[in-house]
Amino acid sequence: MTEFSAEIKRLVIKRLEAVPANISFSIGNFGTFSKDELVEQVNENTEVGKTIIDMELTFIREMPRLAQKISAEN
Amino acid sequence: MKNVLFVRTKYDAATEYLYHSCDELISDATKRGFNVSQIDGEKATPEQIQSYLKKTTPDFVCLNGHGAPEVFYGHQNKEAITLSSAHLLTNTITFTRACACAAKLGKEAVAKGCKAFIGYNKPFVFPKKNEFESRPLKDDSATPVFTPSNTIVRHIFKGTTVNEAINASHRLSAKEINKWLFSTDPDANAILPALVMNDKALQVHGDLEVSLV
Repeated sequence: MTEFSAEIKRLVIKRLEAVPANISFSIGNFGTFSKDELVEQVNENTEVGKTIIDMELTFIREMPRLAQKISAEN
Repeated sequence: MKNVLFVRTKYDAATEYLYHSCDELISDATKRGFNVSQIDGEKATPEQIQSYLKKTTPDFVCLNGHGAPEVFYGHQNKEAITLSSAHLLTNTITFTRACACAAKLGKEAVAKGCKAFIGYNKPFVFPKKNEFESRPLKDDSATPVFTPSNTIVRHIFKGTTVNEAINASHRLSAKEINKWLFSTDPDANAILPALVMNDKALQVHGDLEVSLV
């Protein structure tokens, strides 16, 4: 799996910090993680951390397409 | 009468959610007069699942649990359906709500005669609120992520083609994404990335024009 830069990790951690404290994420076979645990996983370059980075980056990359779709519908 | 099989593991927090997300689908299938079979919880062992599939060829199979590109796991992470047993899905339409099974297992199942294999080619990720762990169906952070997934099965039960079912899921995801993008609810920060990731990871192999009914 891809290695991510410190800037990307910082961005993902900022996004995780915006998640309410009572919400955790179920990430398949890896288990369920609180946002604090996910921040650790991102910092430690684990597979879970990389999965959550992939999830956040997929969302961010899709934003222009989503915005275009919404404006086309309105 | 069409035979429908639900496999639902239940041995950790994630599978608890997957298990209960099928409740409405089982009820829907029963109301529509399908012959519904369930292999649930501790019974979802590799032996039970494989034995059932050898004896009875269901028309539709709904697998819920943990997964990996090459395997669907039964109870307690025991390998239940692998590349070497993918032929057991021959002549079925299969929907798998498990991580990454569409990547390789789905392809192999279709190569061995599965009509259509619908699943996810990445981890199926969902947010959950700690206070709803024992009542997953009440969890308003998980529901928006599970609904586009459930709608695939609901559409197949209605008799649409696999392609129409997939498109219905994408439309519902788009509707939810649109709703949460404009929401000031902080839950959106958890719901949106999971919704987008699962929608992108949704994949189908096989005949897009096949239908159950």
